[in-house]
Amino acid sequence: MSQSKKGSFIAVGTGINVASHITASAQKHIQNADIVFAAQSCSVGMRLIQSLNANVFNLGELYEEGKSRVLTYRQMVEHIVKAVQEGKRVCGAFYGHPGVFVYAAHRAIKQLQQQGFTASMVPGISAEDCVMADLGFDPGNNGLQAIEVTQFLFFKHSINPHHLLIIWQFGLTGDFNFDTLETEKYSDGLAILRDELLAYYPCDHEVILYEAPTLIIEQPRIERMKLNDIEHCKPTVISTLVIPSIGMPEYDHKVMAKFGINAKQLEHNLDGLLED
Amino acid sequence: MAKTDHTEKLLDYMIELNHNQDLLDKHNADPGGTAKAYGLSPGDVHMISKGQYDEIKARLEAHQVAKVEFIITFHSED
Repeated sequence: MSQSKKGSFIAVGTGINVASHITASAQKHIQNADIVFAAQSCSVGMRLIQSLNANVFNLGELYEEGKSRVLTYRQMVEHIVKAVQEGKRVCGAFYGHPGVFVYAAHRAIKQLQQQGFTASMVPGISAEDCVMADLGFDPGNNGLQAIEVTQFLFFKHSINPHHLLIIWQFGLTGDFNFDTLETEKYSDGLAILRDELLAYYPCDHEVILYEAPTLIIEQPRIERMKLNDIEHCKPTVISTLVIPSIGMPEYDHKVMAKFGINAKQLEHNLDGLLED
Repeated sequence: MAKTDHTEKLLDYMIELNHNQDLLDKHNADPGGTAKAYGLSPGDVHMISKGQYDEIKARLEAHQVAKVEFIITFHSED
């Protein structure tokens, strides 16, 4: 399909510590846009974007306490799509990575592409990237699972405890109205979350409450505790629960044999790279 | 709450720390002294010297109409 209609959309990520994490590519797209729709978590990020482009719409203005976030996200999409339909070069500047937990970016791109407009996304630094950097985990070691807390609880997902597990937004455990940001309301849910996780991990397994810093002078919030104690922690809306792997699983000797290799040979070849 | 000149200065400081290594080095060595030399208000200098980052963020965000705390998606592909 020819995508030669006037008007375009590019979704960029500005990172978590925006002033440090924003990429040269994101800056260029923000600067070149006719209008920027910005969703930022702090004033520093918004200020930086406003210094790059004089025409910025703060998508945060669409939020209201008590208003369903689903409605807010749809309104974000409507604003973006309308601007592109008016023939504008539109940039969406979302904190973190624009494709991670960003309904509006994905939805806008899909709708606009269906309408024949050019619409795409460039990556940014996500909170998951900060987890790896600040906590020293490498998903290449044991694999990685990441899931939002309410999705984990309300759907019959399975967890592989041999993977590193990231549970997003666990400060809002059990949120099914999507209309508030007050984490105190969900403290009872942490006990339920703990009970669900006990199906996969021992009660004394170390878990980590993590928050990435948004200012360069700030340190990450890292609180280690036993799984049994998570109902007593105080997460915020930006808190992530990080659960380290319980260790490598057993080898699958049958599959290895199909490749003509056994465990001893593999370990020799890897020369100690495999870790628990 | 309207944005004040002090808020603007604090924002400038937070942004410049990311781009000015010399300023960052000075901040790390002497946060309060560097903030004061930059021209921040006494209250902001106090918060920075004490490492009161929650208070600093609250100070920065107080003037905003709204900010995005997080974005959640619960949608399926349709």
